[in-house]
Amino acid sequence: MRRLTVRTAVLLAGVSLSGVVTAAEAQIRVSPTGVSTNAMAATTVFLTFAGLRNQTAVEAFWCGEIVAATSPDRGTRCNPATLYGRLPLRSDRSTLSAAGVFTDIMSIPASVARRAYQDAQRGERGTFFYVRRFASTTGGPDEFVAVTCRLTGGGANVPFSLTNVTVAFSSTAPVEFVKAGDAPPPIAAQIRYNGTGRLRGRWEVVMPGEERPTDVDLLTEASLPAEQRGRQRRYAQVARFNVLLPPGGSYTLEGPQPSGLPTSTDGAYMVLLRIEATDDRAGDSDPGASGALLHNGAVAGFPMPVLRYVVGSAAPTPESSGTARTLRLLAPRAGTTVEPDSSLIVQWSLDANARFSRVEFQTRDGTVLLSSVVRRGGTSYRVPPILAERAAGQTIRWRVSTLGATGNVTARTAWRELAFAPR
Amino acid sequence: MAGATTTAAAQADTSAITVTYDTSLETLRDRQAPITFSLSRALTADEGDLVVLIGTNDVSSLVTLRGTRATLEPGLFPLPVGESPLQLLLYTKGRWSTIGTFTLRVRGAGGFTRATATPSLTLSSAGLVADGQRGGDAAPSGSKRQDVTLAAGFRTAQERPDVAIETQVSLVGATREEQALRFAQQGAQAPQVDLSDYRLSLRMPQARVDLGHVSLGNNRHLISGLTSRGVALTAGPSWASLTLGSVAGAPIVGWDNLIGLAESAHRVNAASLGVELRRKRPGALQLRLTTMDGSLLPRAGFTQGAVTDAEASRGSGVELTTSTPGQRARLSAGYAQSAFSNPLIDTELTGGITVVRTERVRRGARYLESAFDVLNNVRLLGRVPTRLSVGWRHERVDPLYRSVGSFVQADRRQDVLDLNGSLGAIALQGGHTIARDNLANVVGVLTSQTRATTVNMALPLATLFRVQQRAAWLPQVNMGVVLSSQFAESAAADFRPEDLTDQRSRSIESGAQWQLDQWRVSLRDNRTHQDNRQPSRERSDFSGTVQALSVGRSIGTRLDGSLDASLEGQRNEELAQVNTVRRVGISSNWRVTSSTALSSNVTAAVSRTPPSTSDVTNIEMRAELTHTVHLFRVGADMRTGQFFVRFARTSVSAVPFGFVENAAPPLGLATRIQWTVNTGLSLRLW
Repeated sequence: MRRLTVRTAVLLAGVSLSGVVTAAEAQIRVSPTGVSTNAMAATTVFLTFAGLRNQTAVEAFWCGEIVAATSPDRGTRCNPATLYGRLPLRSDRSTLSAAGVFTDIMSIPASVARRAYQDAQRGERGTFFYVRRFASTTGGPDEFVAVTCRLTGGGANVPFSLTNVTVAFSSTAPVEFVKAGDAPPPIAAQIRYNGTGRLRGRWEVVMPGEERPTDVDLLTEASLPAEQRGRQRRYAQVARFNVLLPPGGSYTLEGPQPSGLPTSTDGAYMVLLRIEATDDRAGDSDPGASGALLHNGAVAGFPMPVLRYVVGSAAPTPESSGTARTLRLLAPRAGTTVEPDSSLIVQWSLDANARFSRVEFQTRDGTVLLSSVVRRGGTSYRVPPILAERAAGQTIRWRVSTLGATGNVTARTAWRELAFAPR
Repeated sequence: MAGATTTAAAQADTSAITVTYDTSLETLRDRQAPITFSLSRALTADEGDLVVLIGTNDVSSLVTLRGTRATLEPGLFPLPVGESPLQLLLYTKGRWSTIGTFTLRVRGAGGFTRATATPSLTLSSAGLVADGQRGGDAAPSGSKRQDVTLAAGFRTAQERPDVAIETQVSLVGATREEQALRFAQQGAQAPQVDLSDYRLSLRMPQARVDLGHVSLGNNRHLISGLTSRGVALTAGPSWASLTLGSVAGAPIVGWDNLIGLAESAHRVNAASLGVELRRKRPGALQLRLTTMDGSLLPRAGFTQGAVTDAEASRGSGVELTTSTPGQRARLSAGYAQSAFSNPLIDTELTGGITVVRTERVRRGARYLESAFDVLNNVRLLGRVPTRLSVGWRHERVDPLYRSVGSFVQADRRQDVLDLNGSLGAIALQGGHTIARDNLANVVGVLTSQTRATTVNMALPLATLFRVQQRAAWLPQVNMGVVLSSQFAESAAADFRPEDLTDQRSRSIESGAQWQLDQWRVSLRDNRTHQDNRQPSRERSDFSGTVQALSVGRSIGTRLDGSLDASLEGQRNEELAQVNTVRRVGISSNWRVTSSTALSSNVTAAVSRTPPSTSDVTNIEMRAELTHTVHLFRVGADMRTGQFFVRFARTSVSAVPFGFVENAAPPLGLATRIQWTVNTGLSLRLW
């Protein structure tokens, strides 16, 4: 038999160590000992190694076969002829906690799973191994601890983990420039994941002048050891989300309402995607000391990306004017649905000092659909049918600005939404 | 051709009115030049109003009508430069009719039909001026200094009848290195003034070149909307289009790699040819050929986090789209092949060791999508307009299929039956999916099957019940149900019984929204259940609930307020643990004057998250005052500055469960309060 199972290898290791120390005293325990992984894509799993005594974690390898470590080393190590790769430094989020518990985030690159799958195609077994080496800080032997990885389609029995997250504005601009008072374009996060579970968390905004988040702040909560959870720095929360992701592999998470993002103050803002840990049976780990399982749903081997927008630009703000106190939208009411064939009339309050009023209609993302100038004294506008055609079923928004003698804006209302009923 | 006349006959209406222009529409006109046109006869009193649209602008109020002669005087509102549609409408007794449609051509400066240059520059200074802390571990005080940030942009557009050039560049700068655009990638080496993005676009009648921030590809299995820095060329007549492009492997920012093509190992090249096979009816039969070649370094994009790899692929694909006249039946299909490998250039993963090589393999992916409108605005029972569309989607992606230009789930076959329709005001959507993986039946790999059924419904109650008065009191109601199951089809030797997937899940979502004049109210309820059935995990079930309420209110034009409350719970049946988050938040925005605003929000959230062994209460308070001042110039050239001061206070109380149960919490020991005062000043120079 070319390959050993973990159970056999551990038995061999135990035999070789008999008479030196008992397994209960010396063996570093890993939880979980075996996991299902995605054969066609990356996989991330939260692991805890308990029982470290004057030991420090060194490197970690993936391989197709494990063998008993050479005495005096303990445990099972990778067969060097079957190496798939080593845990890249960029993915190493491991931390040593108190009470001898080592937390490891095992992020398996797709190329490693690919090697294992191609081996399985050649008739090998559909398992491979992740082996961590622990070195003694007191000159003792090294200890190798292996985790079994089984190949699957990445479905419900795989730990719920995020493997690729892109947060972007609908405009696709890497940094969005926003005029003060205007809403940025809509935001969405494209998420690829394994397993299934609840995706729960918050959208937060870092305001100008606030301390920037660290990489640890940007990790998902389930990527942190138990004692660090709930300690990440918090910022202004603009929305919450809590959705069940079925075993499907990809999901688009809508961002906060653009109108809910702060744009009143000039400066640079950051939108943060904060993911909270949720229950996930396939990803539970047992740190050992407390006896309580640690829930690791939505673990990720990388910090969540941040999205930036900058408020400012050349747009002149409305001049100071007492008339703004009286300018307001009257009809239709916010959120009204009107028939596309109806004669829609919008109305606003009178501003006696205004030379003109400008009525603007836009889509939610700021695309101009129609703009009209109304002469002094006008407080209503009959909307031509071209607006319903251009809206094409989308909810739109409208507002009114009053203009002075030079065409300057003297007052402006907030946006109000309306929709056209389907034809 | 001055003096010539152009006439449009009445359209879409029986009105005999015709419109005559005094000048040729072939002639470019100045932005301020008046436009004079004549009606064939004067409007009668009951023929209503004349409406004039230029592009997206309704300029009717600038038109003076005397008898049959109408004159448009642009005055303060110059005509839009370039070519714009000009439309004349008549509103008569509740009906709109178009009486003329023309094209208006307006010249800009320097012979360009359009020439604009729009700079923007904002300098902002913001920082911490005071902070404090009570309880918890002592944290170092924040750095009390003002950090300057810069945001600059420049857009230009020059357009002539035969060519148009548009440019756009955006810069971001910061004096503090942690705020540099690429600090996350380069640390202290990141430039403090950096290039966010740029674009140069050159358009000609049958060709277009884009440089900078471009998007490439529209083949779902090869390269699909890959947006990054690079170059793209599109050319061809109206019935065919050839696109050649090359972009960086992932979105980038910064001055380095300005064109995006500097690294051959991190670049994607693509070409596509689209042809209308029936030129007389565009859309009737379209053929698109795509080929691509690319490689990626193990590096995530600028706004991306990922488990990355070194990858390379080369592939080609063909897609065919067709539809019947009127689009009643639609069909599209495609097939792609991709040869993929993982080059051994990832030193962090494979450097210094000998690894098992991955074989370069060529695999295929195919899809077919069809839809047919069974009922198209049929009047059910003679009254209710009804639509029903039935669709079938099929997709099969071979094991090990991968392309660096598009994310595709490999080793999966999926068939979906779709139903879309409406019954009066009720919109309905449903679908059933059947999927299977491990298509090569590899013995050592778990095979699983997936079933999913979705139903969604939207009911605008006011429209549904034809309520006219107080219609806003009836909400828009949405409902959705998702039922899914996944189960193992075959068991490999290394899988324990509990590793064999057998799970059912359901999600039921319902919501209601009201829009009442100045009020906005929404309710949301979501209930989910995951039922695990494999041996030894029969009790590993989860139930989740989310209830949310949101209320918003505008008071006049000066004050907006909102209240959000939610209750979330997840129950772990196996461990008898209930994880809850209760949250309530209140926010307000008071525009004290047109130049001064005060915003505030208070949020309290209580999380009970076993087995973290604590109740955590977070209370956040923020208040921000902004004041805008006029610096110099007036009107469109006005320059302004802004000052803000913000107070923020957060408190976190973590009480161990044991103390909760014993009603003797160690007050003060587990509560941490932090507060900060930030100020800032900004100048909007352009």
